[in-house]
Amino acid sequence: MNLIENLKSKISNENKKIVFELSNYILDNKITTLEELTKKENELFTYNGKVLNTEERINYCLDIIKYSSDDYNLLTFEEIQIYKRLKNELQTSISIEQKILNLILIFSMTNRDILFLTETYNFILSNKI
Amino acid sequence: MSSLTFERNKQEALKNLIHDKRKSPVQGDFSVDGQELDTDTQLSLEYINLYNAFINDFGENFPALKYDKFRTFFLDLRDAIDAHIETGEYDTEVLKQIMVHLNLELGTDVNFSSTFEKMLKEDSFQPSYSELKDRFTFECLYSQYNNTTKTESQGYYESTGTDTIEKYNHPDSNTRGRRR
Repeated sequence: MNLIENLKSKISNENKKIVFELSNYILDNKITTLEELTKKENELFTYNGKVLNTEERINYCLDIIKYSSDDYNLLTFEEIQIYKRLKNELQTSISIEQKILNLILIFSMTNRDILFLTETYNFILSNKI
Repeated sequence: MSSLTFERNKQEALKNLIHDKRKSPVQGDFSVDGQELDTDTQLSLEYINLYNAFINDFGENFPALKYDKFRTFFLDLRDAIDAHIETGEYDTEVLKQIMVHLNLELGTDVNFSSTFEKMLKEDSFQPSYSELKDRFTFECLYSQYNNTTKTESQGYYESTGTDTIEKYNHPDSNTRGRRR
């Protein structure tokens, strides 16, 4: 499995920013397998020596985007509407997968580093991003 | 005068241009699954092609100093593409010329073929790494290609009276960079 070739085959006008960022992360860190990508993600989500579980990762990311006013300064009017919708959805009972997807999209819109590396990769390959 | 490697890669790329030897549908015609990619996406895709070739193939044989120079160049080019996608800061054609230049430095397939043809016609290639050495930076090469592009436009302006000179917008450093 060639991670970069897979990502390149899924690039589109809509997802280019995320594909660009994830590809560069993979190349910068010389990651060649999905296992290595997962390992890197676990390192990103390690707090006080403990690797966070999925729910803890989601809450960690929600904390990062808790206050929106700075984020609004980065976005156009149309983007703010999308940002607000994504953020409001996170407060409802959507699935874990949808929460992670919304967080990935919000982080990308607001120029934050990708943290959910493996999920982003899988979402791109399954055309959800 | 360019290095021998750069010249050899240029001749090889010219042969490929004539005989159309591109193999992958993703590389070369910039359409994926039948979808035509816009310019920003083409720039992103071509950057991934080039950086992948550098990191996983050609760069591994570079001496340390050359590797560092190229790596820094790639990171600066990446920032420029990010900024260009966000705010249109850089000249698209100049970015394409720089990527063609990198194709010839590394010996990879040239995918911006119309840009390459134009550079051949106008003989607008800038000095290679072998000649520039320490001055082989994104900023330097961008400036050189941008000035060449402006000069060509100026020639057009003088002959037609039409203002086609593109402005070089210096990036606002306060708005760049990733948030953590």
